[in-house]
Order: sequence, then C-alpha cells, then structure tokens
Amino acid sequence: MFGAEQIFAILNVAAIQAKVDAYGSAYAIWNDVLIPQDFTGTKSINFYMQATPTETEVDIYSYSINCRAQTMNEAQDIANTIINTINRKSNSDCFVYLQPLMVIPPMDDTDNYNAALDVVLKKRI
Amino acid sequence: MALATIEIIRNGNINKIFDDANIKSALELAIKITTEAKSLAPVAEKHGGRLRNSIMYKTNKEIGGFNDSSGENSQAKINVNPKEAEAFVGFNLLYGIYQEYGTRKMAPQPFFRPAIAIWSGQKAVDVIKKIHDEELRGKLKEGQMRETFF
Repeated sequence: MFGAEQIFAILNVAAIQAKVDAYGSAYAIWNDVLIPQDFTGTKSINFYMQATPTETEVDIYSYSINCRAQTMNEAQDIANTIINTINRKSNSDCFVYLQPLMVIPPMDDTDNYNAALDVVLKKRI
Repeated sequence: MALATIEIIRNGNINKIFDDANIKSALELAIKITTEAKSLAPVAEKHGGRLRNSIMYKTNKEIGGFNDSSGENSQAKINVNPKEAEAFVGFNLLYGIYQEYGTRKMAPQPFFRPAIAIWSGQKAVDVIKKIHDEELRGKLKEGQMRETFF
C-alpha cells in the first residue's frame, strides 16, 4: 500500500540482505516504524512513509529508511549499499531516488546508530 | 502613411522589485513550514509543548514561531545567521531529532520532514505570485523608464 510493497521489493535483494542480520528465516528489513522486540541482532533496516505529496501524472510517496547498527561505520555501510543498489534506478513500475542524511547517534545505551535516508518513490497512476 | 513607433524600455529598479518578491516569498514559505511542523509536532499531555514551541523560522530581518504556542517553553533559539533572501526553519532541542527519526525502542513521530514535503514546490509558485502582485500594484511598470521615438 502507498508504494511500501515496491520499496520492500527493491530493498529485499541479495546485496542489501548481506548487510543486515537475519530475522527468523528472513532478513532484518521491515516496513514498520519499530523494530520487532524479539529481534536480537544489531544491523537492521526499517522504513515508513512520511508524507504523500501528490502530482497529477504520477503518485509520489515520501519514505524514510532507517539503517541501524551498533557502530556508525556499520550504519553508514548499510546506507551506502542501499544507495548504490537502488538510487536513481528504474524498476518495473516505479522510480526511486534517495537523499542520505547525517548519522544520528544513539539516544541511550539501548539505542543504536541510525543512518537515515529520505526516499522519494514515483509511481505511475 | 502611418509612422512607425519605436519604444525602448529601460529597467529602472526592476532588480530590487524581483529581490523584494524573492525575500517575501522565502519568508512566506518559512512561515508555512513552521506552522505545518507545529501542527504535526507531538505534544505530551503532561508537561508537553516544548518541542512545538522550539520550532521557529528566521530570516535576516524577521524571526518568529519561537515559544508562541501553549505548553512548556523552549530554552534556546536556532543559531543561524541567514543572508538576505534566505530563510531558515528549525528547532534547537536535543530530543527533537529522536522524535523525528525514532530510536530502536521508540517509534518515530515525523513532524518536520512531512511539513517540508507538503510545502515543497511552493517556492517557485510563491515567487511568481509575488511578482504578479507587484505587477498588479504597478510597481514593475513604475520601475521601467520609457522613451518613445517618432
């Protein structure tokens, strides 16, 4: 819904899977604002929609991807892999471009580094 | 036989008029984003409002939005020095970034980026609108010096 399936599909590829921890039989990539509580790993990706500014000829969805890891370098490595894999590349029915943001340091001992990416997904109506 | 007329129009203060339009539209956009961000900012029921009160805009001449809502007051303004025709919108609060992006245990409540996304693309529209307003007021025509020959 609102382009989430497309973003999950283009994120859930081997190059990006290799950078995150496993979660059950899948990988730590979620379309959710929160990481599941039973996830014990450190390297993960979660993405969520921020806004849906619309235009007349295409749907535009604005998403945020959080690349979380124990260290700043690991978080940046995940973000860099995502950029190299999906930025400005056309997919079957959508086009995605990314803007890397600064790495957000952990708020406390239970938190981890977050290399955030702003994503704009353009999709044909 | 009709005489041909040549009219040469020299632009007097036209640069200043366009600069004024740009400054006004930058300020207007900053106020729109500030207002939108404030309406989206999460506010706790008890002792809430500090984040909302910290969201503000600043140009080289005007400043606004800071501590203008109900709830707890914010302590610090954004520390930037805009040049002419520049406008900054932001907040100077440590935990604001964690509200915007979330943490491992806390869900994000984006308020700032959606406000920008909602108003993105308005800048050019605003400039055109301001220039049109100046035209309607006759300022652009006043700024032109006309010389007619023949």
